[in-house]
Amino acid sequence: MDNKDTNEIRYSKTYKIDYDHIDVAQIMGQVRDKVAREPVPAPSEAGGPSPEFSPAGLPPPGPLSLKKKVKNKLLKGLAPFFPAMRLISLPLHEELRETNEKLHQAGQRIDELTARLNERDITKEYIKLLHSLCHNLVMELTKLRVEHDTLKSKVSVLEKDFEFLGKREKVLEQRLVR
Amino acid sequence: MKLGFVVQRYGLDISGGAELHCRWVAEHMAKYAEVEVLTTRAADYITWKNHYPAGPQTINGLRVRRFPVVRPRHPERFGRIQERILNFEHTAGDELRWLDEEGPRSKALLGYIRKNEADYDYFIFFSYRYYHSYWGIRTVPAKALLVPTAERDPVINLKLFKDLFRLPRAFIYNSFEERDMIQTVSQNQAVAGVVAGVGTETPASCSAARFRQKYGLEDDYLIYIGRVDQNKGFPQLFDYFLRYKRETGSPTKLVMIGGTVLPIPAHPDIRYLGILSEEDKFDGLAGAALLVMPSFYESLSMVTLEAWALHKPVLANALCDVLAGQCRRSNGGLFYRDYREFREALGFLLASPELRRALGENGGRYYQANYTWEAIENKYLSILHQLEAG
Repeated sequence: MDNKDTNEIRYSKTYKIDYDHIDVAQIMGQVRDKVAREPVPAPSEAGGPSPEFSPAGLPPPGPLSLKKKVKNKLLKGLAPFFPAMRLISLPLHEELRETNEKLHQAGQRIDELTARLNERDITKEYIKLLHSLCHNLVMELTKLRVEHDTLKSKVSVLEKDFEFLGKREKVLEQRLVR
Repeated sequence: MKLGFVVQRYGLDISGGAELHCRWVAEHMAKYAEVEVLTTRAADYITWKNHYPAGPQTINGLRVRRFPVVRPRHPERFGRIQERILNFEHTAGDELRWLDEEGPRSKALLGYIRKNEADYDYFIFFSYRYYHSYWGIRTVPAKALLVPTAERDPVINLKLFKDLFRLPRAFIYNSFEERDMIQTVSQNQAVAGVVAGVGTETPASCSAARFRQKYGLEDDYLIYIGRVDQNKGFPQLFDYFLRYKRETGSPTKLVMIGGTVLPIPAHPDIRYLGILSEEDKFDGLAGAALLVMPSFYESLSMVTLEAWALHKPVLANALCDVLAGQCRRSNGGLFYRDYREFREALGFLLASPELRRALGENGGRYYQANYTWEAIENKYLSILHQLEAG
């Protein structure tokens, strides 16, 4: 069975589709659901490991070889002397341990940074949208402000006109009364 | 009935979207009405310099009246004005200056329309954003129909267009998304309108084998037809496609046909073939597994319709609402918003010949129902009869 057939079977198991009545919206819903269920890949995984270096490429564990049997017997025999051996090799052991500790910490920080990079990719898009939203809001507010000032000045002109007309009305009334 | 088609440029050598659209519609409508084309002498859309000879001429059996452009466009000055009106507070006067600068300014064309209004039953204006449409529709609003060919472009939000969109007797839209956008911008729901688009013609026979042999293609391939530039979704497509190949080990190739303004990645599975003949283009489309349309801005996408005419499925950028809408309405293609959706949708399409067949057939039916020339002509006739009646 070649790769094409395997893929076809995999997709046909994942997606439930009535090929006589295709509904693209429904297929896209299934695609999005599937994508949402998958974990976000770390950037280091983006390239993907080569198959020859993948765990699947390792040979299966078989019966112990003669070399391993001898090694196990030696380890058992030397076990009582291990504390003394550690004491002798302490400075070197300590350096190795410290280096290991530092490497472990560096590894943890790399993991943390990788996770943050992933988050950043998503948030970067949101930031872009927010930036454009802010820009549009500022534009709209500026327009509103200008409109507000114009309306304010129109109101003050109208108020003055009103005041003037009121005075004129009084004068005319007085003349009529006389 | 006498129709005047008014467009910024016109000629057999002009391949711009709206101009070609206008020419094809005008040539097809000549079966039903007396058609004249009113245009400028410009050939270059950057400067609008007078290029064609003045006076009437006949092109493919249609009478074409050309009018001189008063002042060519100064691209730098235009860029500065556009930058200002799109990003800063400005007045209606600034917008009119932008329109003057955008051109093509042809007062003789407007003068002709004004003087000869009585000779024409309707004027069909193409492309809302140019000088000829803005002032032309204002000159003869009662006889004006507008084919806006609008994209999601920030200039559509300019105040001067809000008023313009309420003036013509009717609209002939390219897509439902274009109609919704214009109605949202201008609240012109009261103006009559029809969603038509443009028809396409496909050759009677295409040969995938001829194309594969000519260009040495053996594996499955996706095809892209059109200009390779930033607005068309490149280099995002290169990135997505190469990531897809790296992650899945797929032998699929990407074949591209059309002009380019971007460097093409040097990769053995990306084959850029340049501008090809129509025969090669359709042969290429016939041999492809699917058409990929990564563009962010499309007012219709004729190549998508051509793919459906050949029963080919489409994988489109969902961020272009017109493409996503066309895929949903036709059930003829899938779409993606990001890389993970691209990978999943492309993987599924390549893995399932049955899905490709079903989508392609749906696309074919959608094309037959809406985008054959007969269907387009009927839509134009229906809106004209609607105006006549009432």
